[in-house]
Amino acid sequence: MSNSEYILEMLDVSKEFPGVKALSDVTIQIKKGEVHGLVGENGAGKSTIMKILAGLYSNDGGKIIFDGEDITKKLNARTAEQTGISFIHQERYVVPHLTVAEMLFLGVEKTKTAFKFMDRRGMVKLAEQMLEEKVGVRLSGNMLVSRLTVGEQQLIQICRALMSNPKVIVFDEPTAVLAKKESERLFHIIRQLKKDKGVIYISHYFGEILDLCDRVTVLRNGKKIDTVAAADVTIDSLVTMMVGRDILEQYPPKDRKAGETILSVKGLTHRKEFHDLNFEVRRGEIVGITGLMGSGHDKVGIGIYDSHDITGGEVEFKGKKMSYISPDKAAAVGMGYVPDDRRGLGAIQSMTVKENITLACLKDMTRHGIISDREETRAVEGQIEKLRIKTPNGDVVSGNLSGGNQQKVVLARWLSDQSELYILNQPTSGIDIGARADIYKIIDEMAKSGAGVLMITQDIQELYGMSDRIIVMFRGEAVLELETTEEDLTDQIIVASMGGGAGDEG
Amino acid sequence: MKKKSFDMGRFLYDNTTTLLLLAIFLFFSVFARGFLTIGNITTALSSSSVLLLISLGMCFVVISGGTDLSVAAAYGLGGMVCVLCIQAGLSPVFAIFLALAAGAVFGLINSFLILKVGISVWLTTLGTLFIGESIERIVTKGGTPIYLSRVSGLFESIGQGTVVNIKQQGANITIKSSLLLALVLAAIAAFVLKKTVFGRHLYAAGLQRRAAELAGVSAKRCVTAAFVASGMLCCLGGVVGSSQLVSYIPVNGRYYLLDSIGTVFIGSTMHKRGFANIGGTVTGVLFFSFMTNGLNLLGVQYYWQYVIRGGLILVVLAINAYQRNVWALRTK
Amino acid sequence: MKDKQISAQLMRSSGYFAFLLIMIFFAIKAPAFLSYGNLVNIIAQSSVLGICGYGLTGIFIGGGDDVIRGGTDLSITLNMAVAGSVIAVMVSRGQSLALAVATAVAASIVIEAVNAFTVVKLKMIPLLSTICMMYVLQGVERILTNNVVVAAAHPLLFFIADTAVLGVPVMAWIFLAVTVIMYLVFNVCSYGNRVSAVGGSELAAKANGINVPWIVTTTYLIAGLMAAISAVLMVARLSSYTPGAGDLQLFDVMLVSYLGAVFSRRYRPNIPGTFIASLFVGVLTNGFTLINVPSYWVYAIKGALILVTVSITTIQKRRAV
Repeated sequence: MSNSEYILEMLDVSKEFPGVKALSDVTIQIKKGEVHGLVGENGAGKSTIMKILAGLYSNDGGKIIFDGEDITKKLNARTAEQTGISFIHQERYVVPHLTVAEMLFLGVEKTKTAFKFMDRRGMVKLAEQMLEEKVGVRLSGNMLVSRLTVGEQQLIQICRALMSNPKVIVFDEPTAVLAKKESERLFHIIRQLKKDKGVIYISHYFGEILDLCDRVTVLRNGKKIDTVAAADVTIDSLVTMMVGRDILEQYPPKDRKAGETILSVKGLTHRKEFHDLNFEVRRGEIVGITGLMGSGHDKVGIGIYDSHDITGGEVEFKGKKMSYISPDKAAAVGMGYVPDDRRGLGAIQSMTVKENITLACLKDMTRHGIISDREETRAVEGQIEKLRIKTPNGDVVSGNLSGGNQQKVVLARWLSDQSELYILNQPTSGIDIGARADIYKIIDEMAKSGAGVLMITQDIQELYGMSDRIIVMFRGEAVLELETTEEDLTDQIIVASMGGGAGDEG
Repeated sequence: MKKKSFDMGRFLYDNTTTLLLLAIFLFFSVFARGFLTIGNITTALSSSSVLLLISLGMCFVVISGGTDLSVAAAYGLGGMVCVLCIQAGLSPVFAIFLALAAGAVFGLINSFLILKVGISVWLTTLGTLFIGESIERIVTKGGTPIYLSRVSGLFESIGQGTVVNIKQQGANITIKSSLLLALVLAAIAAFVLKKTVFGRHLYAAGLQRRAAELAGVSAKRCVTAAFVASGMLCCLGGVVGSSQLVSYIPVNGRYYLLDSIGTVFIGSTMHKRGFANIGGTVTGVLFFSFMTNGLNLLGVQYYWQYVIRGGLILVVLAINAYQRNVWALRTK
Repeated sequence: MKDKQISAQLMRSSGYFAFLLIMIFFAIKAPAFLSYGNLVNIIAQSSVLGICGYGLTGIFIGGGDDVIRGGTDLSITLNMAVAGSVIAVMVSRGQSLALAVATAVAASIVIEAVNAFTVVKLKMIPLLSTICMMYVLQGVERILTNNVVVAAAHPLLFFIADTAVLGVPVMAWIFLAVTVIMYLVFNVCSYGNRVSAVGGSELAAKANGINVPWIVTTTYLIAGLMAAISAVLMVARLSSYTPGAGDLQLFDVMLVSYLGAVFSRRYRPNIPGTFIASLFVGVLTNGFTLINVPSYWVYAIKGALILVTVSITTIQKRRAV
């Protein structure tokens, strides 16, 4: 019933989350012996479709055919590996204090007696042999996993995945955390692998994709744009397919006026994420920072707000040099930070909307040290109305709100505190279109009120649509700073975030 | 209630703890002779002042996101410092002041180990519990009680003084000043937690420490304050306890450890969102004193009281945990 | 760089150094300390503590670093106490020893099964649920014994307590045998590898197909068995059971299980480490008694030891990250 050319077919797969259509009729077909690239922006649906394949989500529509058999109903998280599909996750699921051999054979230990005594010597030997044979690396089987580099830990996971002899292997952004040399070794392994297997390769690095993959499927907004042969496309045409040309529409007009400098960063260096950053943010201006995963751009915001992991450089705020900054100190002088993980780090889940909104500015609502209920309620009601937070009243527990509304609650927290610098880390990731437009309006008004805004985002459209100035980072360094103009410079940004020219494979 | 049909299952589910407490109270009223008299109830209440003080301390620490196992040691140290000072001839006021200061230092040591060294709350308080008890044993040469010939002044009135004392027609109504003190402190604590910035911030720090920090809350300062409050309240409990006994009995605080954990967590199951809170804690303390009182009136053997009490707390905590699991699923 | 390695090496061996220093100290202060008879006696004396400690160590290995969410069992020594009182009471009433021991083992395992249920199924914080269990068992123990010393005379118990085979007391032999078996279970069997993985990272273990809830449950059940075995030895040693025996032991059992982590290259709780730690504590108790230091000082020293060791492991672990 299925074309034997394909080892894995995902046909017309759809998935809907409350309020968001994450996937609509996406079809991806993987041939045996090919590396199939999957590209798209964050939120385009890449991870959703892979989670369906891994059995973590169930699909609303469509079917999945593997090796000629319809396995749509059979997929679940425990048996995914047994069906013959292996995943190399971005997260490293390893136990640090086990040895390489113990980790490699966890759950499938080699035993030699009726008592299931482990054959340690045999395991170590076999582990070393497997590692050399399957992923071409020489490691001592007795070494602790915690002593390995990130790349080596990943190789162990790959080796483990290969030991179950899968027919399809999925690599989810495997190079995001790897050094260049380690990446090259990985590509070599993948090329060896594809001889008798299907490989799905997800990455943001287009250089890698074109170099490694045979065919590429592009997703945008939960829809498949096309599947093309890698030989037929260039980075530019891929970018066009991925981003589309409907930018700059939903964003507020840029009629803001930049004033005096409010934040100036000199030589800021993080323990491991970035080094020697220099930039300024002026009042009334939105500055965007972007980069790919692993470029360190996502740690810049917290680095300004909390000096815990900062090893060098200085931060000047409102003309005053700040020595060690802790979040409470930063908030007290007028900064406000909106974290990317809004459930874990943003809104306190079991506190009410009211309590969350006034958390930072509660001191202003007191009389002789006593919280004034009336003032608090009035202020909160004002914010709920102004930001259009969808909640019957302020006494609803924040955890029950949708992601977008929780984000508005966190924004309202800093608006009520009348912050002068807003640091927004991925302010709209995972938020549906409607709430997104609201949030853009809020951010615009923040800048118009005379505050500075530093917006960290991976969403290029949003970055270009919202920012007055853009800083692009690559592997811990700022590689490009540009002013946004009428002309569309997104290609330039994408290229820069991948490490320079088109020829560079990054 | 606008024409909303009454959901019996839902009601039972939401009010399990309250109903359980009511059932137990009713049980004793019916079966324990002399339980439901004003005299008995005031006696039961007055005997609960020490537990109430320690539970208040525990409540602060639980709100800050931990559990303080060292309350037992702080209780012992408070009594020890106070009694030793009085034995040495210091004035009662100064002795009580020193005991409170010892409690503050004890709390600071706990918070230092937790926040600076980075040991978990459990291990830290377990360690300081053992060390505190060892100090009690060392000072008393292995655990010999210190008896005072008499108590006087503030030290006497803090434990033995009465506010109301009516004796007529066989009824004996006594309300001790220690109960009044504990209730006043409970009211202050409730006010601080509900109506001040510190209280709000403490809850935030206990629920999601990092999120609270990012919102500008000085979470570490809040946690430190909670431990200092706990140390001081427990030491005050120790002072009241020794005043009542006219002596100091070493390593006697463990009796209150489980009880205070029990009262606070039982109290938290009565809160809409499962937060530890003063009102619930006070109710929990009442529940415990009535239960002890009732079991005694029923003539239940002392050992069985252990089993019944431990078992009941286990059940209440299990219900609490179960509700939390369901809650977690619902919010996902 | 080199200096750092040396200092790390020193830190790593700090446990052994402390052990050695204390041995030398006692050897000088009390000549009788180093006699063969006394040393063998220390092993026998440490047996109750050590075996009970293995049970808790198993729970620690599978429970992980996170002490709030991670595994622990505060009721383990009371479990031992209940098992001890069951044996003593049944033997004193003329029941056969075999039946008494079988009942005790069953009781201990059921108790731990309840603990496992609260932790695994109800997802209660282990410390909270087991502290409740501890109080329940305290009552059960007093009910069983009526709070009086129960004499338990049985030839086999005498044999365990007072006989030496090949110059080594039977108790010490039993201790060594249990040590070997537990070592095999947790360090040699594939089971041990899985327990260790669950304790290291529940997520990683799950992602690699390990049945996490079941593994955690088994560590509790094994702890129940260990509690029962140590109860047999405890009753044998005194030919009786004294109520309250479990209350004070908890401290020592937790100490040896935590201290065991210091005697390992991975800074994690482990069976051989707990063995050495129990001997260490045995040496402390024995030595201080020989030189007439009051027992409450020994307590304080042990209390300080627990905080110091936990601090060292915490700091070391943080540095390793």
